[in-house]
Amino acid sequence: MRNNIKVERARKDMTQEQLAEALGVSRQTINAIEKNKYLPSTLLALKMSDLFGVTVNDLFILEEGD
Amino acid sequence: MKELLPQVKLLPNRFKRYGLWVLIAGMPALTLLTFALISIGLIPRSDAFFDEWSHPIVYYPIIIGLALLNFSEEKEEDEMVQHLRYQAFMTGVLYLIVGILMLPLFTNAVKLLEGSTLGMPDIGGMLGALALLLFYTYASFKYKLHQMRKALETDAE
Repeated sequence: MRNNIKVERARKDMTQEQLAEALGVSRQTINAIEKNKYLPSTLLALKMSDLFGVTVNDLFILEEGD
Repeated sequence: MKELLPQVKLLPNRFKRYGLWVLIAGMPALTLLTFALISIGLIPRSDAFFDEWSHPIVYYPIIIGLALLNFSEEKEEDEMVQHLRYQAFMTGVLYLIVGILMLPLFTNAVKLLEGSTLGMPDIGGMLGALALLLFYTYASFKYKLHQMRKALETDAE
């Protein structure tokens, strides 16, 4: 699985720190999600998609083998 | 969102500091207390310090201190931290099972190298605690699974 969080974050001109604060998680968690080291819960994914104004499918993209 | 299953509530982050204090100061404090109890005669034998009280003096502060470190929140507690903690507990339990079950093998290997006769180390207490932990974990998991299925059946009606 890959994700477009970094792209969406850049589009909104947000730092990892700002995104983390808006979502109520740590900056490390945002970093881990962006680098595909941690898969967020449905709740956090929905909060992110809501914040960026895109669907969860636009944020997280399934790859072959997932 | 309401949690269906009861969650273990972690202690506030400041308890990590208390845990460290217990780890550092617990052993000397308990040693002093034991010597005080011996000196006033509440513990009758002075050599009891070595054969009866040494284990609790060493292990109680370690276990209480580490429990406080394990069961208190991180400064920035979120779902990733909870996920990592869960993984750490899973691997911890697995290594504990393997370690305790292999203990007789290690001790006897050392005995063989030393040229002494083989024997079973006194691990009855450890085996009992391990069995209790695994029994509770499995029974609790199955009960929670049953509760979840029951709740889902009720919802489906």
